Amino acid sequence: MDLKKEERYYQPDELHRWFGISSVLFLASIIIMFANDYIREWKGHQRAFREADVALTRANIESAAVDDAVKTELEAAVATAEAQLAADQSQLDELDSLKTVAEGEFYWANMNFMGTTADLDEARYLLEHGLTERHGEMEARKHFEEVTAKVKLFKLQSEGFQAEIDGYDAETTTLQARHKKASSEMNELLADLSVFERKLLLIDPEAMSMANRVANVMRDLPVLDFLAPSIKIQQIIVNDIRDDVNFAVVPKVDRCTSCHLGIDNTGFADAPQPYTTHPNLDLFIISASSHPMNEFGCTSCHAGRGRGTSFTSAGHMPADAEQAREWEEKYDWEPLAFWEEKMFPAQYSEAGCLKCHASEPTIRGAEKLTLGLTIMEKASCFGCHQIDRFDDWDRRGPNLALVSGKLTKEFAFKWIRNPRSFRHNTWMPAFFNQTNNSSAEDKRRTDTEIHAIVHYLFENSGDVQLPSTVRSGSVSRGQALFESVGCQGCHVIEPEPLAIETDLDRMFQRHGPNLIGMGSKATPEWVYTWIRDPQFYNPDSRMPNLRLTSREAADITAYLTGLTNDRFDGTAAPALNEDALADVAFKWLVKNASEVDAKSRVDEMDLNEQLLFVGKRSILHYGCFSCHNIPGFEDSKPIGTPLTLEGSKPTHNLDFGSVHEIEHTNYNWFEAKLTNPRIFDRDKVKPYDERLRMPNFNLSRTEVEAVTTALLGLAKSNVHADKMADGKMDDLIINRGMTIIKDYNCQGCHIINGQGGQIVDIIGDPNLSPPNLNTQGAKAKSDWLYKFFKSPTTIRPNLAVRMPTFPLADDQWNDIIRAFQFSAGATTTFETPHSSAGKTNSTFVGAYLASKDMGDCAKCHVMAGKNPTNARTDWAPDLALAKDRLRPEWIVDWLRDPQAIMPGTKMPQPFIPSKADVEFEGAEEYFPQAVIRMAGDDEALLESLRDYIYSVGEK
Amino acid sequence: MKITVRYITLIAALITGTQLWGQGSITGSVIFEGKGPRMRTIKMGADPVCSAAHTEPVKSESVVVNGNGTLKNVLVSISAGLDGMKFEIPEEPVILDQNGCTYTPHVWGVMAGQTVEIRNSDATLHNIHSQSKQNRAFNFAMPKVVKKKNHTFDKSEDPFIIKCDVHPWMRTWAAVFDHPFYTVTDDTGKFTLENVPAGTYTVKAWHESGKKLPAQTLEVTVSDGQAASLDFDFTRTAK
Repeated sequence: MDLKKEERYYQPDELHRWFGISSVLFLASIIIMFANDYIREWKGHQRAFREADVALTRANIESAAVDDAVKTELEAAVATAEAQLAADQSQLDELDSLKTVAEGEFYWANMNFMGTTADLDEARYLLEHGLTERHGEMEARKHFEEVTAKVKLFKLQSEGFQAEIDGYDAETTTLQARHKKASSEMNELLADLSVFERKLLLIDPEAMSMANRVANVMRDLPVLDFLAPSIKIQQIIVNDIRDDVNFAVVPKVDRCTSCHLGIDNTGFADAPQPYTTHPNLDLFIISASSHPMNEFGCTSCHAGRGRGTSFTSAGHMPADAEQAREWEEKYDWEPLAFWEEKMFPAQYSEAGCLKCHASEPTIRGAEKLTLGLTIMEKASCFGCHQIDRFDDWDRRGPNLALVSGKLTKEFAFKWIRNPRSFRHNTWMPAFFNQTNNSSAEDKRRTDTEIHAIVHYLFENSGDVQLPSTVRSGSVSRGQALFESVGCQGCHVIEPEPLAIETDLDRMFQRHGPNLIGMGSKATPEWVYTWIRDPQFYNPDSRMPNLRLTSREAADITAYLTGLTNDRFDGTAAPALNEDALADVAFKWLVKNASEVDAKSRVDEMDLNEQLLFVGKRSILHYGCFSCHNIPGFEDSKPIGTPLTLEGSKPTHNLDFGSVHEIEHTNYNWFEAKLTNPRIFDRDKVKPYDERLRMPNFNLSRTEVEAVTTALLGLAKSNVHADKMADGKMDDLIINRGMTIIKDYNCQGCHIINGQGGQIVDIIGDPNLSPPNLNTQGAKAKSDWLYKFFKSPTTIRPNLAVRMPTFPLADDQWNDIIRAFQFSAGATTTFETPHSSAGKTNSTFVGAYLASKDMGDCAKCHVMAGKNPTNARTDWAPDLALAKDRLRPEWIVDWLRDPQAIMPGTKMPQPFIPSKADVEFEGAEEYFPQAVIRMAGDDEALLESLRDYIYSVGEK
Repeated sequence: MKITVRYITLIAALITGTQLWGQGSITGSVIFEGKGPRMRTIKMGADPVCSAAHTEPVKSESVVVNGNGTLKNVLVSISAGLDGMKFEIPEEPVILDQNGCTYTPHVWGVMAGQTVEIRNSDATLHNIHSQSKQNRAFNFAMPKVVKKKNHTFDKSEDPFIIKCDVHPWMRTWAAVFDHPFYTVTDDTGKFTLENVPAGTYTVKAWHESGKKLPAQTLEVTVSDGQAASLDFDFTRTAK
């Protein structure tokens, strides 16, 4: 039945047309889809990289190419050997057939031998049985002897055939040897080349066979490339580092290497991005490094979106505005929306180290991050901002409980108002005259507040008993002492700022304040008392005691107080404005009371009460107690935002105010805030006490960048404990001790774990400087070290610099000693005592090696109190101290190669005679018999020298 | 394609072959007119073996002006212009002798990888202590029975001191090169660098006085088989 058009509910023609159009559209969209997939960004990179890799491999082949002459020569040798082998072939065949016959004979003899061995066991049993039963033993013995003889015969036979086989083998090997040697030489010569050639076969179409060439093209064709493409996503899955993607925590998947293809290949060091080799393969990426790519991925350190496969979706972030513009043009880049953990711009990449290295006081290889953390320690950021890492740290600023004994009110006022007018590089930040409180009205208020703060501090200060006079000292002697006794381990005297960038060494050198202008700050009586015993004035001070005599202290006092700051002295503090004081008091009171009540409360207070009230409110407001111990504020809580996870704070939680000229990212916010802490108050109208009050630390560009790196590092992390750098007990022990070592600036004077010791540069000669503490834990006996720390004695009579006495508690000393021990891998606490007693021969040989003609130890070393004859600056430690001080194993290590332990030391490697040294005509005249016998056994000789050293000073 | 080209040029720069020495030479002398500083007498009384080795007082060799108005012990070497060239290391060792409690030679050069034979011709104990920075510093004792020890430096390095801590006056200056074009001026103040390939070089003259007689450099072009000549004048710089 044929329906007419009119009878249908639809129009077939119309429908056909639409069907036609839609199938064309579908087809087009499928084509577009495949095309779009084919031209994806990372695929382009892989194609380009392959070309570059082919070029590099070809070049490698060229450079691995072998000198033609050498190759021809070897080829000729191989050919000759082959010809010889062919000529010898009949001989080889004959040897082979002879061997086959001999093997048959051997088999026969060997089977007989094994069979008769079993018979022998039987005969032995029968004999033993006969002997026990006392019956038939004669017969049994006869049988036993017969079988024994048979075994012997067959054994001889089989051994004979085995020797024959070995003989044929040896002959064959000799005939083949020449050829084997020639071809292995050839292979060795071409080893590198063949590696590259094999690689080229895989990647270079021109080097491939025709079939491979076709397959090579086919596998990457659009549509077909779902089968087995050579161009494909590369990804690294790291199970124990996880990404928090809201409501789910998933293993890290990094696809970065889909484009960063040369990241582990040293050949691409100068290649353009994204093919560039990682700049630090010693530490990252390759399997021999401590952070292999397969175990750590990429975004674990760099942050960003590892699953992203395009430039933008990977979360790349530019280093600066210029790079942002460049990227926009080149890659159509924009900041990745809805992904908080965007990649760290290159200058902050060390931020990623912190999450796994959190307990390390200095993170090696992450100098910028370490600098940032060190600045945070010095600037005492944790005073106002709670940061887990610094939770049990003490206040960093001077204790103000006895301030009236140290400063004048005038000094305190000028100092608080502008610390840098007195000391250009102080860590005390500036609270006043900042961009949000510098109007005339603000100054009227802030000057009043400073007066009140000073009043509060001095009213609440205790008294300190200072001597009424100090004996007069010599400025020149004082300066000489200052420059030699060790003050410069922590202090500088730098009247003007230096045009050098901050780094860790510079921080070590400036651990304590820059001591300019001391004469304008404190009285000679205070300085004298302070340097003789810092803990007398401030029990919490970390300044150690140099055990100065009264004369030395007087000399240094004369030198330091002779340094004055005339410009600072020349300005006067303004007088207190009593009206302004009443106004400030009123403004505080009216916050919690009615205007009338506040007014009457102000009127009720006398001047002293008003000053104390405003002083207390101001100290609370500005948070002075965060860094300084101030009576009345012992338990006050930090006033700043906690920063423990500041790096993970969503950017929209950071108030940019009306600052629009910077890109709204967390690092831009941190940088702006650190450069000018009040910047986000710009163009805002706020009551005074609601304005931003973070003080200004006048950080340089380098310092701002370093602190920003550290802040970015303070972030949430999902790293499994096994992957943490400090996951092991040993690391924690080392880190705990090293934290104290850094806090007390031991590295100002000593090189510890390869870092610090800047005072060596000032003194000039490492031999006249505090010792390098390399291997200290393996070197010193722990009980001796503890005694030395508690009460330092002279070890090195040639040093002018002295080890001070530090105000540390027993548990801190224990932490330090254990950190030394664990760093040196010498962790035993209790040890068998070593002694030279009874080792007459060893001690005798040692004494000979130490004698005048050999090592001449007494030339430099003090020997049980007997001083050497040469100049004192050349003297070395008394060898009689060694047995109490040094671990016996370490002495041997030290003697073996002193330079390896203390680079630059004057201690020479002692003469340890080798066999050749004692094998000359008349050696007996030079060397005792015992020495000649031991010569060549270096360890025994070094031990004998050690035993001799242990005997020095023994009765 | 662009990348390919970039790679080929990059790699080509990396491939450098061993180049043969040339036929040219550089000769000249180091002029020092006028009187040099007075040569200090070394007191060797501390070790009788040392003082017994000399009949006449020993003078310090820190500045030696020759009779013909030239300067001795100036280390002359090519300091630039040899980029990419490689040179064979001589098998002959350089000899450093401790004789009469002084070092002979007083200033010397050696190629990286070449053997230095350190001799002790004295009947006393010396220690030999290098102050090298690029090469690993060494410091070992040489009692009178030890007459010879060998050492090699791995890397090129500017002149550094080697000294004896037992006899503090003993000092010698060593420099390590990665090419063979260096020499030290003799009693006539003359120097010759031989077998120099054709090219333009910077030649450096260095004296141990450091800031007092700062090192000088001169440019020179050597054509193949020809002798180029140049003179250094240290007179001006001396105060």
